[in-house]
Amino acid sequence: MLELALTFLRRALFKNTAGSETRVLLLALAMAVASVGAVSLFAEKVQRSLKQQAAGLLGADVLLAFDKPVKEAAAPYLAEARRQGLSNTQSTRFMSMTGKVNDSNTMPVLTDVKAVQTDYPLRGRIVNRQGQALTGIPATQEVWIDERLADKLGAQTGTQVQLGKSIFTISNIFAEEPEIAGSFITMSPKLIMNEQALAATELLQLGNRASFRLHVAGDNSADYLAWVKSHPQTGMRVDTVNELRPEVRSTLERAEKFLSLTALLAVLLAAVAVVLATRRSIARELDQMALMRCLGASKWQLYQLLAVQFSALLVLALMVGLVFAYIGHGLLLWAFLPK
Amino acid sequence: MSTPLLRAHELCKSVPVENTTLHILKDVNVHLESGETLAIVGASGSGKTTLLGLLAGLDRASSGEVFWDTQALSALSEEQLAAYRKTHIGFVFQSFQLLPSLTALENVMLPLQLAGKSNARAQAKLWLDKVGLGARLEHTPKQLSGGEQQRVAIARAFVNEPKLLFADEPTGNLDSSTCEAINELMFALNRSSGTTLVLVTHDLTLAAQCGQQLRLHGGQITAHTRTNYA
Repeated sequence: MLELALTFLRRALFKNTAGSETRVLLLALAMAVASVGAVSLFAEKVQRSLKQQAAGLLGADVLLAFDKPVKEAAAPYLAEARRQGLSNTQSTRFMSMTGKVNDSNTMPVLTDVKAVQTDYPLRGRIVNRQGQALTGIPATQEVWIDERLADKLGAQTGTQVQLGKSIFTISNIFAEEPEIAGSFITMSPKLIMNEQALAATELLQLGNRASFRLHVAGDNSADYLAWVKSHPQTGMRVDTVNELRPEVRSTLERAEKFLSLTALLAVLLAAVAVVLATRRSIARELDQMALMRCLGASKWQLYQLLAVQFSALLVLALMVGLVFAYIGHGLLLWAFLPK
Repeated sequence: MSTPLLRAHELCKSVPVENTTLHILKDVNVHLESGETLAIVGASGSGKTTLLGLLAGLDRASSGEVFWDTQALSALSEEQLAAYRKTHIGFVFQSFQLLPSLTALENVMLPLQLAGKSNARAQAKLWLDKVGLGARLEHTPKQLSGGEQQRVAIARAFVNEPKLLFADEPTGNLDSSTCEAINELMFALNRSSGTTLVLVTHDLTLAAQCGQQLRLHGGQITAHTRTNYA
């Protein structure tokens, strides 16, 4: 029966002109698979890309901010991040005055200071005026400042600035950095320094308002976030891109909805094509089935015959559809995503 | 007296048409021994094809009974009837009814495949040889003439070596010379395989070659002739 079913299908697909409905059915099924597949693959890539870009705004996938130094407060969260194999780094963020050394004419500027450790940032990048990404972090005797701070101080690369009790040399001036998201403190000009040099500045005294942060990123950061949310702690704030920036969240949600609707529409159109082709195909099969019934075929044999044909057709359509889906999603990426 | 292979007793078929009942067959009796041949003749609409359908178990009688050997068909389910047809009955149709997507060989193999026989291909080749189409095995019905298609249909009908063969106007779509060749072939195969043959025809010459002739008019038998062949 298997041989007979496959013979019917092979002839309907490749030889018999009367079997055009079968080819239409194959095409409709393949197109359904292809359109859903292409849109799903494209949507997944766009969402992943959007999320990654959004994560760049935060410098991480998940940012835990503590009111106490990370070593004291974040131990379980750090341990969990390591256990889940996620990348992590730490930073301290606070406001302080930055002044130019040996220049009494320039007023010190209130600065958003970030003392960072190796691997910062986990997402996004720090870009200089020439559009080049800066690698690593400042050395202990150096700082990187943003363009606004450079303008306010009238500073250039090589200028020395004082921060607390330490003096640093400006080694880079950056135009972009992660963590543009956030609260009002982002309004201030920015300075990035090596956390190892922080103690010597003696800026952080008892009662300071610094934010001690643990940055976490990785493929399964959603699991980590869920774990963190199930282990809340007083004095800890959890930041994700969605929570930090409602406009980013709503853009993501709108993109998801639009792409899901597109996929749904593709499925509906393909379903209509499949139904029409199936009806025509079954009408053609009826005469054939009646003749075989006359020749003594049992109902079970006819079910088998149809089931094998449709299953084989479905497998074939899946294979063809997946190939088209892959090509289609490549075309969508090429057409709609920036190169 | 031996048990007839095919027997119909007081067979009636009627169908409701709007507010009335249309009587297609009325009290038809048939008695056919194994190896005999029966021709059912009559004008169009006289009930010939309906009678053939009832005798072949393709349709159910309104009253009366059909027996294959001693088995009453009304006692059999649709599945049991299909199973019986599969092994004991062959059909030849006026419009050949070959499956257009299959080759001549595959069409003849079909009854054997449905019956689960393992030597389907060899048997089908043998029968196509017998009907003179040994060189046309891979040709589809579209590539064959009407006469050749009917030969394939005859090979398909005989390939299962049925006890009973029903033929509905087997030469109705063929020209006279092809018609004669097909008739000769069918009777030759009938004689060699000992099959009991029931055929519906308008062709009185063909009918005259059968051992029995039933003439139908308005659903009733108006004449029943028996011919004794040496």
